[in-house]
Amino acid sequence: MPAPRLPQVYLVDDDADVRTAVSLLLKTEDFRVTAFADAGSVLAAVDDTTPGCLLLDVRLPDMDGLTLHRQLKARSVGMPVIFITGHGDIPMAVRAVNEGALDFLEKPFHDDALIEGVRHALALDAAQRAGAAEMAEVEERLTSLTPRERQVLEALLDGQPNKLIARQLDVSVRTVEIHRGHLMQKMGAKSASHLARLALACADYRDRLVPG
Amino acid sequence: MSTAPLPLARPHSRTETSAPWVWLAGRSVMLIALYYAVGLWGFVFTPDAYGIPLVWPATGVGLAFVYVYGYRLLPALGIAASLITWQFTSPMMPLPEALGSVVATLAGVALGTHGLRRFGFSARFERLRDVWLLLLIGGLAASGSAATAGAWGMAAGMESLRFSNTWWLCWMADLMGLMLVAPVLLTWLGAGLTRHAEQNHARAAALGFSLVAIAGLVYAGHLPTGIAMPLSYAVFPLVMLAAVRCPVHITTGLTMAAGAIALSGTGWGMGPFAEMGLEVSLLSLNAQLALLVLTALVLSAMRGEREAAEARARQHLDDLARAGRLSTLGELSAGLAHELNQPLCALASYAQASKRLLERGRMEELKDALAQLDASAHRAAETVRQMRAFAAGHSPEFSSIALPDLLRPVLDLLRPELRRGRVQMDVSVPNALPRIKAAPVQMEQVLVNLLRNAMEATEGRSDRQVRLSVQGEDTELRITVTDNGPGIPEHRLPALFDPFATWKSGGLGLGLSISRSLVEAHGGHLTARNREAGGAEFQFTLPVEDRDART
Repeated sequence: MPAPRLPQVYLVDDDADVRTAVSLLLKTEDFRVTAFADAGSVLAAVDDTTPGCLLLDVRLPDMDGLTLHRQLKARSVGMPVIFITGHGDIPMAVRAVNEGALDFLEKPFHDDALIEGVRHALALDAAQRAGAAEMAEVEERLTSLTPRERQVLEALLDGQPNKLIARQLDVSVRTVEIHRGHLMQKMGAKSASHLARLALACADYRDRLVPG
Repeated sequence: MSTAPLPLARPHSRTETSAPWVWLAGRSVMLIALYYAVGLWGFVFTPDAYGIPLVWPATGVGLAFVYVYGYRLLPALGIAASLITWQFTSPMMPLPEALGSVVATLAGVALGTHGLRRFGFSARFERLRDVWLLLLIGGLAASGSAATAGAWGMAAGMESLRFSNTWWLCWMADLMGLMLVAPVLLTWLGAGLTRHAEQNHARAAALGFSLVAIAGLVYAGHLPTGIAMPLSYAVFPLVMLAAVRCPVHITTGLTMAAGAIALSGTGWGMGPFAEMGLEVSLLSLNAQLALLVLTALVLSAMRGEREAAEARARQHLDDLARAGRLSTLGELSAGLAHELNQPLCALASYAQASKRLLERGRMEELKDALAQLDASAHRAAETVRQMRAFAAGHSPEFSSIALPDLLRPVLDLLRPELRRGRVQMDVSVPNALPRIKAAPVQMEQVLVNLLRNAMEATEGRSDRQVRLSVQGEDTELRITVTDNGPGIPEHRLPALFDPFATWKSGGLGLGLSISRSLVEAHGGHLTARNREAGGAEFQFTLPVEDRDART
């Protein structure tokens, strides 16, 4: 596992003055900021494990902000993106938001809007990362189930009662109850509905319908 | 509440440096003295048979003074005319007739002045119309009236003279005198209007010296008539040269000098015209001098009209160029607005950061932030200055300038566009180029135009390249703009610089046409061709500054 990194604000703007000024403003609120002048250098610096958020100018010397955003997504860099735009770039910013950017701010921006936006983005990133970590944990637990317990789990997710499961698996109802107890324990589920929620969050069962 | 009084417009007169009455007295004395002097001089040309002078410049003096200084000088003119009449005709002419003669002179001059003003005569003689106006109105009103007065007085005084004959001679004499002195006085007294900024004193002096020398030689009476007569025409080329090259008051001055020498010589019995007897000789000489004056004035006026047309054409080009700049600026405005917005964004961010630093008491960082804020503000101001410098140019002035100083603002102006379009721009300018004499704003316009065309030509390529190179040669600089676009369609090349010859969408197609006119107005040439390696090449030349001095 890579060493845990502290969340940062990654600022990309081609104007040195703007980079210095916005960095300074964010640093007064104790954000950690790293600034880049073009798309290439930010692409080289971040990957899917980098925590933080991106502050992107829609106009960059080597690539427009929208293309950069697409490339980041293609590399599964999931950090929230806030676009910053000069005059006349609003349509582009709207398109960016439609493509999944968190927000856009028009230059020159209000400090409160910027700081709130960045704070929100960092919180979102942290939440996403926490959610992702929990999911990995559940996946891990899922692999620890025996094939029999898996069968019971799947039958449970289909909403079948114990008696029916026992008949299907050709075992006693009591045996099904024992498997079910083990499986609940292994998955760390407090109730049947909690179990269902955990299991459905996993990739294997994500598209399974939950009747009733 | 007390406010400063509004400055009242003073009634304007030409020279209001001294008290009005001193001014009037001074001009009056000048008029009387000059009128009297030319009157005396005129009586040299009085054949015994008639007792009237055959050249009478006094009326011309009166007309010029009253036209230039106003009707206030009419009393002085009256005094001058009375003096002359009293001195030369008092024994023969009864008082009522003498008075009538003076009044007729005054009336003639007043009528002539009124006519000249009424029909918009200008003493600069920059239009043919001014020449005709002076001849017609001066000749008909002023000379006609004065001649009537003179002839009437003479006829009354001497039984032997018939009024019609005398009137004819008086009118000829008056008109001749008017043509000799009026243009020179009008142009010299109205000098405040006519002084040209650029005067070639050496040329004027050389012309004046040659003219006096030739006239002196011809009319000193030492040359045989067979040589002196044809030589008397040598003043024509000199006066014509002056009319074409010198300010009009130099020309009129030279013409008058030639006339005065010729008339004086002939009047005193010397020179080629003198042999025919005073009357015939003076009429013959008058005819020659009239042609000389007319030649000088007509040539001056034609030159004035040509210069006015040229000035209008230049003004037209300047206006067109300015419209072109404004339209270019409009096209560049999106990029420039962005360019301006960047420092403004930085400025706002510095200000907001400063506020927060102040709240937290982080003074050292605050000081830095404020210094950077200041720098950003200046940067924004610089961008605005560039735009304004490019758009302005109500009077594009020529100045001595080094080419790099011309290029810098152009590249600054285009930088946002270059960056946005990801165009690679190569500039190669050798060190130590000779300076050029140019209107910077117009040359910037040509450069912006050619560079933007080149940038547009490369649109759609991933490796957009525009190259600007300068070569210095002996007499001119050669500025070349090339691109790696598709080149100019072969069939477009011949009419490329015609107005409206565009094949681009958007844009009037005036850019290249204006550019070529501007380059040519600077004494250079603008040409276009396709490069063998692909892409278009535009090249223009500009003469280096001291080329004029060398050739």
